Amino acid sequence: MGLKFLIVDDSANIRAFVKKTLGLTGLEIERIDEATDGIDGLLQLAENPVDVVLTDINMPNMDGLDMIRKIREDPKFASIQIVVISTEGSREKIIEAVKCGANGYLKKPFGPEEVLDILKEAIKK
Amino acid sequence: MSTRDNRIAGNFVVESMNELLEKMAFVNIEPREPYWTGDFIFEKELAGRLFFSGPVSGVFLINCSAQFIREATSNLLGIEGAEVNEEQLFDTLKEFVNMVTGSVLHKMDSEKSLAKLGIPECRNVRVAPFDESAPCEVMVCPFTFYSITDNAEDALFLEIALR
Repeated sequence: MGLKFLIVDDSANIRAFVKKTLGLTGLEIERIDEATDGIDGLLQLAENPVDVVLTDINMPNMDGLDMIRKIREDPKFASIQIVVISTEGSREKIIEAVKCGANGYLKKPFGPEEVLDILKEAIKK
Repeated sequence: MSTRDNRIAGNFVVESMNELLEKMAFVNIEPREPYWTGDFIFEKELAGRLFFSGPVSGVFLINCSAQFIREATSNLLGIEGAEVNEEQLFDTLKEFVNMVTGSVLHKMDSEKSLAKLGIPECRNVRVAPFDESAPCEVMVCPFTFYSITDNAEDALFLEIALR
């Protein structure tokens, strides 16, 4: 069985690019869901659990870090790997994301190799 | 900023744009010599703008042709240029403004978050110009864009005004 992903980003183009990039990694993929913000992400996750969440930080309604905190509060999502994909790449921001419960951090812009590297790490865990 | 600082800031803008296009949109551009001017340049029809504030505050702007963004969007999404709609064009431009601003600020200091990024805005400036002028002098980083579709040269401008 392949991996199930949820991509959370308010940009439809970035969601499409991440989806296209996941297809280039060679990973076996069962399903890729999409959400437009943190609230949408939590709703989708409750209905269709996934193995890996890839999320932006700056989004309307609920940002990525708040969504990660909510996911980590729920024990049934404990095994989900969360990778943050953001334009902000400072050490300070990465530490904040990890403290919230992120397992990996990918700075935009990124290519397929970087996605594969970070997912290999996340999946190993 | 000193002449040396200006050159470094100009290099950061060029490096950030090159990195973005190499990794995500595969569009062929070549940097030209940066220069300083009193206000933003709106030579092309589309503009994306982002305000940022914090220890470093200012405005970042990309001014480009629809053709440039169409080719970039086509490559980003893996679809034909003719299939790209207006919503996708503006989405790409907003993301480009966001990513280049984030990248330039990161290159200025990789330890701390130097600024909180605002919400990127994007429009056709021939139809609805931005009404605010630059808060201070603007550093303009011009690029030559080589269009594969038209087999022609075009220009785009990355502009940054630090308060």
